[in-house]
Parts: sequence; C-alpha cells; structure tokens
Amino acid sequence: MMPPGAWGSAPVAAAAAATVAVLALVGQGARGWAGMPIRVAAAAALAALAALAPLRDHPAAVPAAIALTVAVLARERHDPRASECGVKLLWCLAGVFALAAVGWALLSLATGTVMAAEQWRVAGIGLVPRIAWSAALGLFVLAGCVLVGSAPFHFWLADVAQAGVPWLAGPAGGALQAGAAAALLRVLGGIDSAPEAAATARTLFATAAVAGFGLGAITLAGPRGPERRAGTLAGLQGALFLAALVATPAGAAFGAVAGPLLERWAAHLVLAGTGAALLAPCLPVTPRVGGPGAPLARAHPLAALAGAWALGSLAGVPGTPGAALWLDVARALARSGHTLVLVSLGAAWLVAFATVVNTVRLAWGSPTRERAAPAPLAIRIGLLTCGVALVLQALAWRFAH
Amino acid sequence: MPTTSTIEAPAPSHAAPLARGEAPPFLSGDPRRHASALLCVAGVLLLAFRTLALSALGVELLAAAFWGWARAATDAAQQVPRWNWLRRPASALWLAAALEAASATGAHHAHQWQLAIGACALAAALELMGALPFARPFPDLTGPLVAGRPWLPVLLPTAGFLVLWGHAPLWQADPLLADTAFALLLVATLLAALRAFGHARWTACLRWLVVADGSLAGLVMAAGAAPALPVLVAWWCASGGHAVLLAGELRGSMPRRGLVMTGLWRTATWCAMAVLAWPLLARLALLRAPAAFSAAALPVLLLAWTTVARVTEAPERRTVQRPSAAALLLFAAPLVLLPGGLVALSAMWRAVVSPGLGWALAAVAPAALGGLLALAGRRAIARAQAAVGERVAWFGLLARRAARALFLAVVSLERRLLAAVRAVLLAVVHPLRELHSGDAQEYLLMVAALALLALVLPLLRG
Repeated sequence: MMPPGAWGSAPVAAAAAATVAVLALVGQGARGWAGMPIRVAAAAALAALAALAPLRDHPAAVPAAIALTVAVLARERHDPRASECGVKLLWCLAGVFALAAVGWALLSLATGTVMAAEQWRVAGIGLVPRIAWSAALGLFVLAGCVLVGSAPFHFWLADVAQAGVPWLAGPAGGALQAGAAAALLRVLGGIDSAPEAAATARTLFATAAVAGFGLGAITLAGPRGPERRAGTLAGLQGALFLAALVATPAGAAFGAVAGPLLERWAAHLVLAGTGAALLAPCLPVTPRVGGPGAPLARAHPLAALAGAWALGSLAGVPGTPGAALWLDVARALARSGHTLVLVSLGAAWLVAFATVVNTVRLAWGSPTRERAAPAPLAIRIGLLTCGVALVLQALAWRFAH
Repeated sequence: MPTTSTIEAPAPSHAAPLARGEAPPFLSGDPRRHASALLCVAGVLLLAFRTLALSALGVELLAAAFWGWARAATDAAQQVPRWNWLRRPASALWLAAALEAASATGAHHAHQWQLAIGACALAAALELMGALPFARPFPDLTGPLVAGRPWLPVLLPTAGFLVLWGHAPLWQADPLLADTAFALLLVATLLAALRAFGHARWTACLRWLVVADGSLAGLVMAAGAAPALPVLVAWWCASGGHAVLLAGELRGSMPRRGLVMTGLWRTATWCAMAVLAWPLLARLALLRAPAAFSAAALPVLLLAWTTVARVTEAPERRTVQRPSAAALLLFAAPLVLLPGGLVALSAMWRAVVSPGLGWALAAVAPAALGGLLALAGRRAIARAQAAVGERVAWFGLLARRAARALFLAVVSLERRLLAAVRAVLLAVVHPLRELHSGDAQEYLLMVAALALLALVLPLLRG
C-alpha cells in the first residue's frame, strides 16, 4: 500500500504527530462553538484528502487520514464512544496498514525496485518466485478490502458514524476509502505485465466484491441503529469499488473502469457520506410503527429531505447521483461477463434501496400535533449543503455525460 | 412473507352514502391525504407507459400513496405494516429496469438477461394481482384511506394487470415464463373465484371478482389465446364493471335499485366475464387439454354464478328516486360496458372461431351454465314451494362454506410454508448479521488470520 519511502517521510510523520498533539491538547474538553475552527479545519483537511486522492495519489494520504481521524476522535474526550472508536481505528487500520507495508516490502525485496509497474514487469518475466508476488498480492487485497470498508471489514465505518462526531464520519470515511482505493490502483498499476498475477488479482477481488455485497446486504437488513446503517451503506460503496476493479473488459488494462470512476466515486462518497452521517443521529433508534416521526422530519422537513437524498444516494436510489455510479459498475460488469458479482451487486442494491425507503418512512412516521424540538442549526446547514451539492453533482454528471 | 395479520376484515364502517353537501372521499380531510391521492393518480397514469422505469416509478408512487394514507390513518400502527408489501413489486420492477439499463450496452448471455428482466416484471405484476402467495389475501382487507377503504384495494389488481399487459413482450416470448405465469394465474383465478363465491359480504366479494377478472385476463395472455388489445378491452369491461359496481354499492347500493338497473348490471357483468373467459376456454378446448380446460372452466362457472346470483334487487324505500349525476352514471355504465364487450368479442372472433365453431361454443358453456344455474336457483327460491327453496338455499350456503374453508386452508398452508422458509433463512443469516458489531480485537484477529493465510497459501501451493 505504501512505498518504503513514505515510512521515512519525516515531514508527513511530523505533521501527523503535530496534528494529533495539537488537537488533543487544544481541544481538551472544548465543546460547542469553542472548538469549531479546529473541527472545520479537520473536516476540510479530510475532505481535501478524499478529493485529492484520485487526482494526485500520495503514499502518505492514507496514514495521514488515519492519524487525523484518530486525533479528532481522541480530542472528543467527553464522549466515551469517540475514544473507543479512536482506539479501535488505531488498532485495526494501523495494523492493516502495517500488513500492506509488509507486502510492499516483500515485493520490493524480491524485485529490487519500489516502482509498482516495474515490480509487476519483473514478476511477469519470471524473475520473482511465485510465492513472493502471490503473498504480496494477498496482503494488498486484504488491506484494500479493510481500508475501503467492504464487508466483512465494514465495522469501522459504522463505528465512526456512531462515534458521536457526526460531522467527522463523512469526510473521514471518504478520505480513508478514497485514499485506499487510489493506493490499490497505484500498487496494482501495471499488473497486466504479469498475466498470472493479474488473473489472481481479478479472482481475489471478485471474491471480495461478492462477499462485500452479500455480507453487507445481510448486515444492512438486520435491525441496527441508523448510524450503523449509514456506515454499512458506505461499506457497500467500498464493495462497489472492488467490483469496478473486477469489471475490466477483455484486453483492457487492470483498473480501466475503476480508475476513471475513482474521481466521481470519491467526491460522491464524501458528500453522500457526510449527509447520511449528519442525518443518522437525528433518526429514531427504535422507531414505533405508526408512531410520530423523528423531530428533524417534523420540525425541518426540508433538511430531513436533503439528508434522505444523501442516504438514498449512498444506496443508489434511482434519480440520485449514487445511482449513476451503481449503474456504471453494473454495466461494466455486464460487459465483462462477471455475472456472479453482478448478481450480488443487484441483491445488495435492492436491500440498500429497501432499507433507505424503510428508514425514511420510519423517520417521517405518522402525523402528530406534538411540537418537535428544533435540530441544531449546524446540522441543518450541513444537511442542506450536502443535499444541494448532491443535486449539483447529479446535474454536472448528466451534462458531462 | 405474509404481511397481513388477519384474513377476515372488519365490517365496513363507511359504506353509507354521502350526505348532501359532503365532500367526495378523495377531497375531504387532511391535506396530506390529497398529496397521497395525487401520488396515486400519478402512479396509475405512469403505468400506462410501457417503459420499465416508468412502471417502477408508477408502482413506487402507488406504494407511497398507500403509505401516506396509512400513516395518516387513526389505526396507523395496523395500516402501515399491512400495506408495506407494496414495495416488493416496486422493487422487482426497479430491478427489471436496472437490468435492462445494465444490459443495454451489450452483455454476455443476452437470453439470460431477457429471462431475468421478464421474470422480474412478471413477478411484480403477479404479486399486485394477488397471484403470488406472499400477500394473496389483500382483497379481504379494507384500504388505508378512511373515505375509500372498501374500494382502494381494487386499484392493486388493476395496476398489476396493467404491468402484466404493458410488459407482456418481456415474458410472453419465453415459454418458461409463460408457462409459469399460466400455472400461477390458474391457481390465483381458482382461489379468487372460490373466495368471491364463499364470501358473505358483497363488497369484499366484488373486490375478489376484480382480482379474478385480472387473473382471467392474464391467463388469456399467458395462453396466447387472443391479441393483446382485445384482451385489454375485455378486461376493462369485466374489471371496470365490477369496480364501478363496488363504487356504486358503497353509495347506497345504487346499482341494485330498481329492476331495470339491476338487470342491466347483471347482464353487463355476466357478458363481460363470459367474453373475457371465452378465448381462453376455446384455446384450451382446441388444444385438447381436458385437465387445464376443467381447471379453467370451474372458476369461470363459479364467477358467472357469483356475478349473476349476487346482483339482486335492493329494497327501495323511496317511491321516486332522487336524480343525481351518480345515478345517471351508474345507469350509463352498463350501456357502455355491453358494446365494449361486443367490440372485444368481434376483435377476438377470428382468433377464437376460426379453428372451429364447436370449440367456440364449448368455450361459452361454463359461463353460460354458471349464469343460468344462478338464475334458476334464484327463481327456485323465489317461486317454488317453501321446502324446495329452503333446500336450494341450504345447498348454496353449504357450497359457500366449503369454498370459504378450501380457500382458507390453501392460504393457511401457503403461510405456513413461507414462515418455514423464512425461519430457515433467518437461522442461516442470523450469525452473519453479528459481523456488524464485533470487537476490534476479534476483527484484528480475523485480519491477522487472513494475512497469515495469504502468506501460507502460496507456500503450500509451492
């Protein structure tokens, strides 16, 4: 995932450490408007990481995103959920990142080069033992699956959404997922030079995508809290990217579909993920059928509608920009003949669609004369911004198409 | 899965005619209900288009309208889950539209794609028509909007047939789908006929007759017994007649006021049903398929009997009827339905009669026999000696109870089977759901194990 050069990158390490220290110290106990500039800066930095990942992939993007996310979570000391989530992320994501680095080191040692394209070229002409590149490939795929949040490794996205820092979940998830996706494309760039390795990679990613869609759909259909549902929907986006990696037409280079898709996918992920994560805490955890709706839907229906639009876009509800992504990947899978992956994609899409409609229906509930408490202004502004941005994104894609 | 808690619906509380000056049902009450009514109208209009995405949107809007009415109802806790199943056909149509869009730019195994698209469209239509076991008894239940409760469920088989008819090329071309549709619709027609025959309440009976009309028309299409457009006209006459009859029944049994009106409605609905069933029975007779002919003839006989026997003159309290637009409409409707049936008949004549007049006459027999038996039975009760009349009435009651028991037994069996399948699925899936909320340590262990596997497997492969 990361070339050895990045490990030794002093400025990146120093910046990450400084961010952790500053946020942990300055924001100690600070709540409300007091910590707002730092929150805005952190969210902007994460969103920028997500947006820049497809344009200019840097080996330090993923560790920087992990460090920033953990730092922000550690700063929210008043909420044990945030601390717990921070520790979990550090344990799991940093561990997985280390595994990817081991794979990279293994391949670099075996091939004698740190350039991905050269590594696979060397492997392709048979100068590297099969055991070396296949072990490295296995580690890359595993780390990729975890970092893009594809099921069964999607718990961390749901945890971040449930950490009590709703504004963080979208940008953090987007930065990590987009960074990991860009890194996957980078380390596997030129893998077609080694046909056997390319075939193995396709098989592994196809298996991971089927598992991601299948297990994601199963966990999504279960009765979970709204935050976890939003996180799982973001996890399905990870599986969608893995499916895009698989859907390479015959004769095309590896990532021929996923590469061009990455920019749109990452931008959409940040917007829709943020909207969904902002909406989720405002939804009833144990809704009663026929009972009154969520206060947000009753007091601010427009903001709730914008949030529902974001949630629906994450699930690929027809008409949303997310649906265009799901459909593009489905088309590519149909053309490349990956029927099993396509069937699992279709099943996951149906479950996600149904879950979102059900969630929205429960959020609106039954009409009541009871006055609902107003939602925080920041949440409303965030939801409306995400909704408008997603509409603009859909229009921009349509015109570009 | 079964979504309804009870098969028997409570007695309708809104069957009384509207008072003078009272707003029509769809315009009274909460403005939110108006929005649902608009969604419903838009949904049904969209079903007229033969595009899968528009059909999906139409059914989705219909489901949203039912949800909107249900959430605003006083018994929302009961109504909302009752109509949740409407999202299933919408989902099936969305899937069909997505498959069509995904395969439009060239796909491997084109035949399998077409099969999947056709299967999805067919499943959506059949479920709305009550031909699948998941929500079969929905016509027994009243709708979610208080003002139109007994009438609203009629919309669903209507929407189902429109989907079935509109997307017929998708499923008619494939023999597997056409045969499956034929078998499911045959069972659905028989069950609907049994339920309509056995139901005590005329309003519920009419809802089942609408379901049976849709299934019968679907059978004609599945058998390829007549061209599409005449089938649509014949279905419109049969189903529309029963739907208007139900609407009139809810306005103080207006279609059954007076001997002329009753006779007109009885004749119009009987003829429309006979015209609809005629090409199907003729085709089955021509194919010399006695089992299929008998299986189709029995519900036709029951439906004809029910249509004729249950349209009886209601006692009129007034000496002179109050003139109203509704009364005029109800008088004109059968006069439109009868020529409509004749138009359909003339369009189907060549397809049905050309193989042989004998077959065509044999095909009319079940509908004619059912109607004539009903007339004879009614006359016997009215004119014969008291003992004979009582015996006929007793026999009729026994037959209705037997039909009702048979229907309930089949539905109960279906529910048990579905519940068993659901339990097995849940048992399999339940452990996988827990993947969602594991400890970080457990996840790390799993990742470490997989990483070890990734390192060791290449070693083992050599």
